[in-house]
Amino acid sequence: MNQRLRNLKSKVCVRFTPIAKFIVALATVFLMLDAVSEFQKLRRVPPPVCQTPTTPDTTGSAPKIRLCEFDLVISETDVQPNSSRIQNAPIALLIPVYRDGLTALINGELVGRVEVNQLRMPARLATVPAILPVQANNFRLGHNKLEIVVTGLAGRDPMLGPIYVGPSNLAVEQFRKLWFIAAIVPTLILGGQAALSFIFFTIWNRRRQETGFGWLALFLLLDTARGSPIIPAMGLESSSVSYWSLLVPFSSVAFLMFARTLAALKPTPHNWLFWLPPSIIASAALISSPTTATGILMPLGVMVVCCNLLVATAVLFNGWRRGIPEARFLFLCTALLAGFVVHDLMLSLQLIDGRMALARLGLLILLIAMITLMINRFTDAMSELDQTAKKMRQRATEIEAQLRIAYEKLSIQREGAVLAQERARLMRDLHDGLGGEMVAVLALAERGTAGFDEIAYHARAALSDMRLIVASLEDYDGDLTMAMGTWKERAEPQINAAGIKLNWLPANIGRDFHFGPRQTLEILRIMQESVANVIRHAKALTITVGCEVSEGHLVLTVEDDGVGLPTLVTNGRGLANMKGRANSLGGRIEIQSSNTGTAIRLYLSTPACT
Amino acid sequence: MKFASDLNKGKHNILIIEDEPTVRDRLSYAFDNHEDCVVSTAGSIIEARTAFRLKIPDLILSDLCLPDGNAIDFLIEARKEAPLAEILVISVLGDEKTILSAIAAGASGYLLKDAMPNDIYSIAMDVLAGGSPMSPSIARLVVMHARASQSDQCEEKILDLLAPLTPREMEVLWGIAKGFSYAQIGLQLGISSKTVPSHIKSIYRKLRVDNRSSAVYEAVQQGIIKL
Repeated sequence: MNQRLRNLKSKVCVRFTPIAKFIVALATVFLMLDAVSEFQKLRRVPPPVCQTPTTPDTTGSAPKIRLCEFDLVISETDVQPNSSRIQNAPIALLIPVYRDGLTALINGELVGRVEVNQLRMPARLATVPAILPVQANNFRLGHNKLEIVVTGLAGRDPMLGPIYVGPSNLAVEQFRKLWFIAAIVPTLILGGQAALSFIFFTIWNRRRQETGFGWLALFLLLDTARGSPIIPAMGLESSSVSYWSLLVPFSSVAFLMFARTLAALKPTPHNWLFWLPPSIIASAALISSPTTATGILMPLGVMVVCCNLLVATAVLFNGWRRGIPEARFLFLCTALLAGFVVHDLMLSLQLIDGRMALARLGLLILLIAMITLMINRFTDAMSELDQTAKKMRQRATEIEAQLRIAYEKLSIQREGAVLAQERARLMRDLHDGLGGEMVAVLALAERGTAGFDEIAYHARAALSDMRLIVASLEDYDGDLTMAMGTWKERAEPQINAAGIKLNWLPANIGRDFHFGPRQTLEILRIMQESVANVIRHAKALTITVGCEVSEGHLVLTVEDDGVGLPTLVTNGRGLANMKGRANSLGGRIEIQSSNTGTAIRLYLSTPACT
Repeated sequence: MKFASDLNKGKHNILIIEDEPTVRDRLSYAFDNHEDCVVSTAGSIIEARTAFRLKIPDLILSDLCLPDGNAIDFLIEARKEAPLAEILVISVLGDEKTILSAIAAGASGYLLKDAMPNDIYSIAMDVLAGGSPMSPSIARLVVMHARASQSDQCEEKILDLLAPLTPREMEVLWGIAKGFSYAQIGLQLGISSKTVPSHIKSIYRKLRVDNRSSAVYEAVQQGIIKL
């Protein structure tokens, strides 16, 4: 039943593996990109004819210029039908990718100028798009001459991507999508990174042994700082050097450390050496001139990043070889990033053609992978804790149940044992005294020759013994003299009825002599038997019953002034019984018998147990 | 105040309540040869009520377990109606439960069923003469319970005494419990043997349980003491 329930649960609650989560995250990103890559009704303007005018460049920091000329053909479908010419331009030019500023002229007249200088953020996934509305008086249907001047910042080549033309409302719509991808999403990503960094830092702070969380937090923090959209507002942005890019080498070291942790490599004492190159480069860049920084230190930084990336890839590959599934997963992502970085390097060295830098995309994939892994690790730990707690609870319940059963069994056994013991005792008690007397009564009555006196004698003896059994079970608090007092109460009428006087001389015996019911019964039986013998055989006038403590022994005495015991009694069953009882008490019996009387003494030592 | 009728003036009216005819006859026989006793017998509580109304007894000898129930309630009623009537409980074993029940019923003591006729008569006369014989077993019980209730408050009190027993009274009880005679007790305690009975009377006064709120009665009713 339980098993079935569990199976059902596992069917209902489909658990997402880290790979699945990763794929879902990636799919979301690509779907988003796909949504903006479709330009619907916008029409791509045919490729331009471009030229780069050569200007004397003495400083090396003057902006580079690229001049492109398009043949812009505008048809009726490109014009927004119901546009108010005053408020809205009927057509618009959409320029998704360019670098770093542009000025557009149609038929020799200026239609717009875009400067993205202030908005330039190196960490952005895509270039900020530009939209240029074209008023009705600036174009005509048919062929138009579109000239665009692209300017690049110092050290950067101007670049212009494809240009689209269409009704301004559609162009604005597409522009918003591009803007969302280029500006909003990166901001969200950075915010998310900052938040996750904080969360992972908190986790690491509480669980220092989980260094992976610490490195990931540091990595995210550095990456966030580098890509932060608030940096320009802080006035730290230099027009020529992206100082914040100096954080990238540090990020790469943090990533390497993370990779080492993930691949379960023990930290070595030389780990700090990895931090040396980024520190040197950063320090040098801060004190050197912008040209040196851009020309020498930046490539050095890129090399450091590449090295760290390669080492991390190797470490992860090694982890994979050792059978760590997380390492395999991260290795693939890192390899992808490395590939993208190589692509970007070749791109920047103009070894290949292309417009799009892929490293940032690779880094995003890697980040998603890392975050997925670590969140998964954390939730796994949590659910494992839950499972453990659940198991512990189950185990505790089981053990409790087992214990209860065991306890019940034990107490039943114990009760059974006590009952058996009691039964045995009662059987012995009944057999020893009462049974024998009842048999005697029966035998005498059946024989028919015995006198009623003799039958009455045995019946009385049976009753006496029964009372002794009952009396022995009562609470004397181990005080034998009290038991003897109760016995006296019963015995005295019998003694008196036989015309004998009872002298009662018990001494106060100390607390050293503490007797349980069993011993009490045996002692009382010995006394009863002794007195019965006196009544039957001794022809005595007085019986003296007493007890005293002598040389560590308790001595009980039954003495009479009769004619002494006949040999029948001294050799008979009665005395043998008394001796047996004395033995069972760990004591002994002395009998002195003469024609002037008999003394029976019972010597008892301190009972070992009650 | 005598409850005897004019016909039996000066005689002791004794009511024997016992369901076993043989035992009843045996007890009755103990008074047969004594002119000063008039014996009526009952075999059940119903018969006992009838006999009690017919003639208020001076002494009731009663078994506790009767065919139609426990005699304790009847004995307490009887004591209320006839405060001077003395009660002796009849028992086979003379065990603790019997003694506690006897105290609950306000009895002066108990009789064993196999007691010798002479002893039965002498005990009856002793009780009727206002003597309060205390047997070692009663003394032991009182001592044990008094000590237990003084030392341990948590323990369920079976006996609640009207007033605490004095040390001297405890000593007297110890002596009786160990079977000493009044003379021996007097000798041991350094008091006159004549003062021992007065101590015993005092103990009985503190023990007397004439009302239904007594602890022993409660204990019997609630089945703590099973008869």
